[in-house]
This record gives sequence, C-alpha cells and structure tokens, in this order.
Amino acid sequence: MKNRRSMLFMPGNNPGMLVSADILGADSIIFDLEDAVALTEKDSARNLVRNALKTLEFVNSEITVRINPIDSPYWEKDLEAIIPCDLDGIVVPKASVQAVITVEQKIQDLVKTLGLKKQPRLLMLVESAYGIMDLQSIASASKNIDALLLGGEDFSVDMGIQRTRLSKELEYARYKIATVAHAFQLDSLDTPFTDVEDSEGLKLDTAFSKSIGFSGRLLINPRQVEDVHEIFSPSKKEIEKAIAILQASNEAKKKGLGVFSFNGKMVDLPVIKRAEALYKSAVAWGLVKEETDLC
Amino acid sequence: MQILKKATCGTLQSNDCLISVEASNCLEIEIESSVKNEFGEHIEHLIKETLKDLKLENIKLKIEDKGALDCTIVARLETVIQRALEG
Repeated sequence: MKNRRSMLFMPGNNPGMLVSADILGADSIIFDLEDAVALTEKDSARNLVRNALKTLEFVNSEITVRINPIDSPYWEKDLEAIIPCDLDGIVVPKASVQAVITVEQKIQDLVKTLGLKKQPRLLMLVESAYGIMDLQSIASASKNIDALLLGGEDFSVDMGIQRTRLSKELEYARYKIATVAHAFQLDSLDTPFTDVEDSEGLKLDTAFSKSIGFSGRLLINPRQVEDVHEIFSPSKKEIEKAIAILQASNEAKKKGLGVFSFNGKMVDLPVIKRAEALYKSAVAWGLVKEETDLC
Repeated sequence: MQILKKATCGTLQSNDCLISVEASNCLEIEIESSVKNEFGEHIEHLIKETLKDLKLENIKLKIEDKGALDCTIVARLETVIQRALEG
C-alpha cells in the first residue's frame, strides 16, 4: 500500500512550525535536526523536537525525524532523545549500507534498554552517486526500511552538476530509486521542488515523478501540499473502478472463480491486488469512505 | 549543582522564548511577556518546577516570552542549563 503522497520538512528548531505541523495537510512530517539546523543549535533543536513529540498530540500526519548523519557527532544524541518518544519513522540522511546497520543497531540497543514495545521505521535518504549505485544493497540491508527518498540537491553537489528547473540531470537517479523501491515494495519519494513560487514547474515535475513510479514527493513548503496530493491521488473514476473490481472479485470468489471478466477484460490476481492497494490508499487519505467486507 | 557560565537559548520569534542564565547566590527569575498578567504566574511556576527537577537553586534567569507553549519553554530551559553547565 502506498502510504505517503507527501513528506513535509519542518525545521526542528522552530517552535511555531513544530506546533502547526499537524494541520498543514501533509501525509507525513519530517522534523529536521540536520540541514535546517545550525551547528550551534543542534542541542536546542533536539530538545525542542523531543519535548514536542512527548507533549503535543499529532493526529493527522505521520511523524518522522531526520537525524544527523552517522559521520557527525550528533546522531547518537539525536536517537537517544527521540527514540523514547512516540514517533513513526527516522529519516536517515546520506543513505548507505553502513548507515542502515549503524543506526538500526543503536535503535535496537535503545529499544532493549528502555523496554520499548515499538520501533520506528527507517526511511533512507539517498544523496550521493555511490548511494544511487548501491541502492539494492541499501534497500535489502534491513526489514525495517519503509521508503527510499531522493536528496537531489546533495546528489547534484556530489556529481558536480547544476540543478535545473525540470531536473533532467536527475533522471537516472530518479528512475533507479522508483524502480528499486518497487522491487522491494517500498515507498519512494522524489526530491523536493525548491522553487516555491513556481507552481507550474512543481506540477510538471511532479507529474513526471508519478509517471515513472514514485509514490510521493518530499516538500519544503506547505503551499506545495495540495498540488502534489492532486497528482499522486487516484481520481474519482480510478477509485470507482477499483471498488467495482473488488466487488466483482468478491462475487467471483463466491462462485469459486479465480479469474473473471470485468468490462470485457480478464481480471486476475495482479489486477485485483492493484485495485485493493489503490482502494486502501484512497481510504487512508480520506478520499472515500471504507466499505465493509470489500477487501 | 552550580552553573559555570552565562548562557542563552531560544529566539524572539513568535511562539518561542529567549532564556538567559548566569550564576547567582539565590534564585532570581525575571519574566518579560505580553501575556505576563495572564500567564506570568504559570510561567514562573513552570520554570521553578523544571529547575527543581534539574536540581538547580542558585541561578539568575531572564525569560523573554513570545507566546511559547510549555513544551517550548521547558526545552529552551533544559538547553540553556546544559550550555551553562558545560565547562
């Protein structure tokens, strides 16, 4: 099931943004302890995010935290502060196999020491040429990985290339992330569109993201949520068709049929699974009311 | 426990607070807030309780509040104390 059409970055050291994050409409929030926080304020951002997670109620969006990379002096204290809190995921920057192993070991140690019942999922932010080449190893390094994310700005710096409006220079990285994510049944989120004044460019670029298989997009401004959701959400027609296929599938099961005809076309298990995934996403995103016994 | 140096944490942006601390022979708390009449007592109580949890008594503290929630005030206070305790 695709879970995240959008993941919105919020600077971890800005109390006003932490407090308002849950009403901005994004499917997922990333409280950022890394690039959005100055080196002199790493401690204050960490404490602020920790206290927000412990005391505020977040009901509308999934809550994740981007920690600092494992080659920094901050990442362990980041995890020690936030793992005891109720959060859904950890965004791991500068994704690599070593990053997966190192972060996961620290999380497991903390979970065991603190006697916690829940362990947050890992979302791997791929930001380098080597990371793109090593994607399959990264994706298979842990069963706790939920998603692959593309950090296009850092990737461009690593490659020594210029970023452009329609991101042609990122095409290889984008195709590879979308493909590997699907192969490992993970969510895939495309790099942020950084010109917040260019809504036309955002729509064009996001339509391309969707066309090559991304399940959602990283965002840097709440104004981008609506346009991105419109592109990644199934249409009313697609939802109606998925429901009709599932209803027909239930009827076929009662008759003991494995495959059946729907609107003149053969429907087999992969088609049913796709309809089920689309329907469940539509329900999760509030686009349609859940019907009992549909799937 | 005694703090070793002056320290500050936070900002004057909306929903935040700026807290400054330095060593003192007693507990001194100065509160600046546009809602001091309504919430001054609550802010002072919150600060005192947090300092008690941190086992700190002798400290001179100034808070410039810009509408910060309790979780923000406590986070800024915990950070400024950590900074003041660093050698």
